[in-house]
Amino acid sequence: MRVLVVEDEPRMAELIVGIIDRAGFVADTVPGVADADHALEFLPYDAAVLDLGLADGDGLTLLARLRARRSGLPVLVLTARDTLDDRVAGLDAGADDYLIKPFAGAELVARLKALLRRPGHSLGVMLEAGTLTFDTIGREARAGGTALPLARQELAILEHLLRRFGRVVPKALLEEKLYGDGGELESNAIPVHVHHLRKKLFDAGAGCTIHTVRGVGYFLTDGITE
Amino acid sequence: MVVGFAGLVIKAYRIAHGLSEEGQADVFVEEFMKEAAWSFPLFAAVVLATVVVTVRTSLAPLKQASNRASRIDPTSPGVRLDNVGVPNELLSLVAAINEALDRLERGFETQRRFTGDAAHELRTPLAILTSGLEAMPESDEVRRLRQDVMRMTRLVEQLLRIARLDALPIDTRPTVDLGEITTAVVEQLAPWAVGLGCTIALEPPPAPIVISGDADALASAVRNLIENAVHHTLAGTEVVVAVNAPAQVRVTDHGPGIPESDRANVFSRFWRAPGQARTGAGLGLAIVAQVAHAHRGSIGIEDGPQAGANFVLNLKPSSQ
Repeated sequence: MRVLVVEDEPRMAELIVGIIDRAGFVADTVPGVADADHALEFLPYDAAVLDLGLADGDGLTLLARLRARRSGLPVLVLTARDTLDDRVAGLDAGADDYLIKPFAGAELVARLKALLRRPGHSLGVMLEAGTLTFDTIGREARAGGTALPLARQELAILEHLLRRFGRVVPKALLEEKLYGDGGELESNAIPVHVHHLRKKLFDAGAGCTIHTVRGVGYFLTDGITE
Repeated sequence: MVVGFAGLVIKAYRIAHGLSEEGQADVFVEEFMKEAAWSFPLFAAVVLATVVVTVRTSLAPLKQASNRASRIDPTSPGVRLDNVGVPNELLSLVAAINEALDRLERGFETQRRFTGDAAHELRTPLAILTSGLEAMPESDEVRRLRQDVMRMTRLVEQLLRIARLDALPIDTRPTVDLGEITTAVVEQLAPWAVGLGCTIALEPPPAPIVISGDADALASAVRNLIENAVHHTLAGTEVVVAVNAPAQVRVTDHGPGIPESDRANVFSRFWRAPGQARTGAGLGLAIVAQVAHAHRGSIGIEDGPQAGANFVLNLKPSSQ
């Protein structure tokens, strides 16, 4: 898995490479638009992390050129510009995700992985958290190597939580994904599944916890609380 | 009356040129008092009225200018006094005041741009610090340093927000859903709150609450209200965020609450309760107040059914 880091601040570039490295990917860094163009031409990258304010031009022009060439390379924009307008401009130019400096390393890795897992992209099909592994093709979850006996809805909920690890998954989204739009749905269907799932994860020593955000949804973190 | 006046004028002429007999002057004065004295108050009233009207009309532009001047404050530094119709004698005064305002505006502008740029430029070094500390092996000292960097990051974010609120007039015309904005903020902050040992709960409105406002600014107001509550609520307790019709966001915590004597101060910039632990720079609530003001809404503190602070942000429903 090879990631191109376009960042003109050398120390920042070094640290981003470190983060990506520790996540088990390979990262190359280039300081500017021209070098990035060159690198992308000669090496088959799986994703790019792009800073916007570069010494020799704007990262967004690079992104626009990339998209004009119909390149589907997943691009994560990493920048100090944070207004809504900036974000909209970034996403309009074809960025797949947008992360604002300063950021947590885990966040950067989680988002990169999410991009790489999109259909047609390179990352495998295993999701992980704590001692938990989730095979998205085989539809099987294991904790510490032992298969977990999960119902279909529980598996689906767990997959959504894992895909957005550390971020809130709205309850409404889970209802929509599990039951579709029009279906008759008891209001406590999702909470009941989450309750069972939570108990099974705890009993199996999965090393991760489902937190409830009352009125909004759920999120998954490493470690055991509650 | 006219005949009376004419007679008096002829008599006065004759006395002045010695055409009249001696002693006639006294008789004349007496006659004058009798015939014309009544006209003096009338004359005075007419003069007074003329003076008042003339002064009023010639100074009307000045009154307009002073009305304008009273509207000038740091949020509207572009306003200048109008010199149309101002009397010539005062034109130079108006021009001098306008030039002084120009200089002040440039000063403001420089200061604002500096704050905004400084906050912006600090982000990359902060990102370097954050990532650098993450790469270090765990220790108590490293954990403490991470906390420090997080605090500094928050401060920089708030400075940037304040600089932006000061520099750019907020466009409150777009239509936004207050419930949606609040939900997104709660989603963002919930994992962070859990990391600090408390939880955030949302009580969403049954129907969308559509108002006119700036989504970015409103989100930052709600965010700062919730961050403030999370910092003050007791460990293990819940911060409740309720969105109510017609256009209200209510944030309730389970902390010590805000004493009556501090309530007027908490919305001032850099204000911090005396003797209180330093949880922030005292900018969060000032941001909330500024955003509320820009939307012609209000922010206040109410007494809740239980102890703890109860902040209420009221905005204008879109029908108004």
